[in-house]
Amino acid sequence: MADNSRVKGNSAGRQFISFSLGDGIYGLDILMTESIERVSDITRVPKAPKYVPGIINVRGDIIPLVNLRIRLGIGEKQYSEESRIIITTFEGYRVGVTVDKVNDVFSAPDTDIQKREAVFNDGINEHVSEIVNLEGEHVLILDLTKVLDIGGLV
Amino acid sequence: MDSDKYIGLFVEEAKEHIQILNDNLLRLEAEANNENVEPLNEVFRAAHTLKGMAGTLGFGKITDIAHAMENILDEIRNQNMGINASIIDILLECTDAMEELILDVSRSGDEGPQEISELLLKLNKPMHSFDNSTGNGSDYGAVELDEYQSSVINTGISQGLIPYWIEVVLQPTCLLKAARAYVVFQALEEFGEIIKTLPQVQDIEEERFEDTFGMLLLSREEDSIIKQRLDLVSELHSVKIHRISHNLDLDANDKSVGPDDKAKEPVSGNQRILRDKIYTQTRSIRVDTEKLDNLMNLVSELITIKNSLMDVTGSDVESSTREYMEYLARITNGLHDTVTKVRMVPIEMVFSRFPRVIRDLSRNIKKEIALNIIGSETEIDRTIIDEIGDPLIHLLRNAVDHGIETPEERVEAGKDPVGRVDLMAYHDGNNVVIHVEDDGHGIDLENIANSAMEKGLISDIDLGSLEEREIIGLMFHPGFSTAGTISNISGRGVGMDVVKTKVESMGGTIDVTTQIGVGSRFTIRLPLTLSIIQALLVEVGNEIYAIPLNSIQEIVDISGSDIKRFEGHETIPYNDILLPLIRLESELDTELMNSRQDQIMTMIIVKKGDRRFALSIGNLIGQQEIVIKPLGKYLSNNKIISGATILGNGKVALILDINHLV
Repeated sequence: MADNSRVKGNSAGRQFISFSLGDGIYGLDILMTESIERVSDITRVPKAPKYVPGIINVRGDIIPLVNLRIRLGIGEKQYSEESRIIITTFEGYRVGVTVDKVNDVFSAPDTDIQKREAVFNDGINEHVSEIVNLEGEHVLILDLTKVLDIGGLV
Repeated sequence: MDSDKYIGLFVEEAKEHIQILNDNLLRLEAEANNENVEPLNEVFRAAHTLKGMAGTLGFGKITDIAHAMENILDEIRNQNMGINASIIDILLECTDAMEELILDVSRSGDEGPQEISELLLKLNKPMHSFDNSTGNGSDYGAVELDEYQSSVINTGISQGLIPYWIEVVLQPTCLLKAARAYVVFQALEEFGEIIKTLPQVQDIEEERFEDTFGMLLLSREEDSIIKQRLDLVSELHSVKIHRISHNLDLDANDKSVGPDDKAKEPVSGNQRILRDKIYTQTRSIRVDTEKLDNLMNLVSELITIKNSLMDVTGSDVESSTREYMEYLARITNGLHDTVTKVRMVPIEMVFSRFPRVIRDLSRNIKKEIALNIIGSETEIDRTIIDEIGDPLIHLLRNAVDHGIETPEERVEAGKDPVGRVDLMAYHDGNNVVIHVEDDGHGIDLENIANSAMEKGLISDIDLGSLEEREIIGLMFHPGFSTAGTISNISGRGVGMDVVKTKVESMGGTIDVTTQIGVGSRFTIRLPLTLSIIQALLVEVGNEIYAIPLNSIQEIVDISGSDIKRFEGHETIPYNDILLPLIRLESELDTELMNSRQDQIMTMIIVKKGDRRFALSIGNLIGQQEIVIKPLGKYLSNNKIISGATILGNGKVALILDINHLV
């Protein structure tokens, strides 16, 4: 209990998981994530959007995937040893998102969290809900509703 | 926030009570001349419980209606009022009003804006006197004891123990009533032995009681000490401790023990029966479907292991592995059976709504109908239960509305003026069969054929050559049923295509047999369970898909040169006719399969309704029992895939929905 000072932030803040996509560092609220999985056999689903590479078997459950590189327009890349799938749960949806690399879980006090609107104009970084200042580095926290395009799926 | 959970519980339980009200009001009407007080008691209890539950959550309208119902019921019970159809009508109207309010609660968390003053006025009109003090739920005036309990008390008294009747009223805000009651039991057991509780211990443990419960305690302690101890328990509204009179007369017929309190009114025999009966009905156990789904997950894992073991033994067969595999197969089969059974619920859950539906309908259209329900204990998968209600209501409505003649017509035809509608369910192998049968005037096939011709569904050339089955099939044609006027001519057909589609979506079939003047019988055949099915695994491109076996008619090999093109549409010859060909690889956007002109291709002949199609696949892998897993909410828009299954090697295969594919 004594070594609390090393964890940045305090009880009023929130916890995030940070990951890399290309050169950028992104994050998700930890309350929306369930687990981190290695990339295993992906079964393609016909007629699915291009950014949905397919479904996977996670301990007996079928989980659909969203390829974040394609979704965010970062450009496709083969999965590597470091690639991971973050299983997210959100309003009854359970979706895995593929990322290049999972970095860290960190806490941030409310004072280090900025709303997207305070930084970007409309149309820029629409998939982002908040920006967190993590020791000088800026982590873009993704807005799952927009990333998963819930409601807009064909 | 947390109250959402309680509102959910409230809605669920309230619906049960509404059902009890409906059932027993109908029984009350049917058995009006009987001495049987049980239906009345059931109604009373349900209304009372609803009042209590609604009151606790602050739903004023439901509380008011239930209270007014209780008043009427009280009058009936005290024989100040007789039972007739109009009273039952009013009580049913109350039930409907409450049901609607409960629906509002389930949707929005609160009662809707409906005006209930008119209904309340109606409720109060037939009353001669008004007793506001009825049913406050706290007066267990008398306690009935069985012989064993009486003897225990008498022995206790002879050993210097004092019998107390302790009545505890919980605060209305108390949420975990059972837990609180348990705390009270614990406290009292420090002082002696609890001989009896009211309601019974089981009911208390399962929270089947209002705010009030009573206990008979044998103790050496003074009542003031017990009172002191109970005062330490929180969330109690009041505690009353009565010392029970010593003169217990075991020889007398009346074994009831009254509290010492002389102010208590004597309880009439009728009421005592009521109070005893109030808590005796055993109800079904509710099982959390989420838990069941978890159980299903475990089973599917086991099946996965079984399948992978089968793969291993394909190449090197060691006897020990085979033994192990057989053992595993036995376990999975057993588990499958057990789990399937847990998921099964009696079809009564659906059937119990129908007497009310038929009663209202027959009163509306002035026909007399006797509905016979047979086999309501037949068990069926939970998923089917939720889906089958609407199609059945549709068939029953049709039977009453169009099948059964008016009483005059029936007498003229030499039939009983009361029309008979049979609703029957039974198991047949791996299927559940449901009959809806009426003894009305049957379906005029000629009329159907003529109407279908008018609608352009068939040509007049077809007319002569159609078989009876084919004519009946026309009834389920979408183009047929949407025509409004036809129902008057044919007597049937409104929305029959909807019924058929629904039944088929559950993997079932529907058939009709009919005879003019004698009646019609609709037969629905459904699979017992929807979650584990037999499927054919096929390879398309480099991917593996599962096709449910029940949609497959035949597997044929066709030479590539036999494929005929008509304006870009491919067909294959099949038993002297042409079937449309669907190439799965292009339908599913898989890698193209190399198909040389003269190559032999494997085709699956599938049925969709009355039409047949040929699907070209790459390779057959084989038949397998598969566990259906949902694709989840995210991909729920994908219609051609009905789910997925996990193969022996842990990979996922998609299950094709033939109905949406072709």
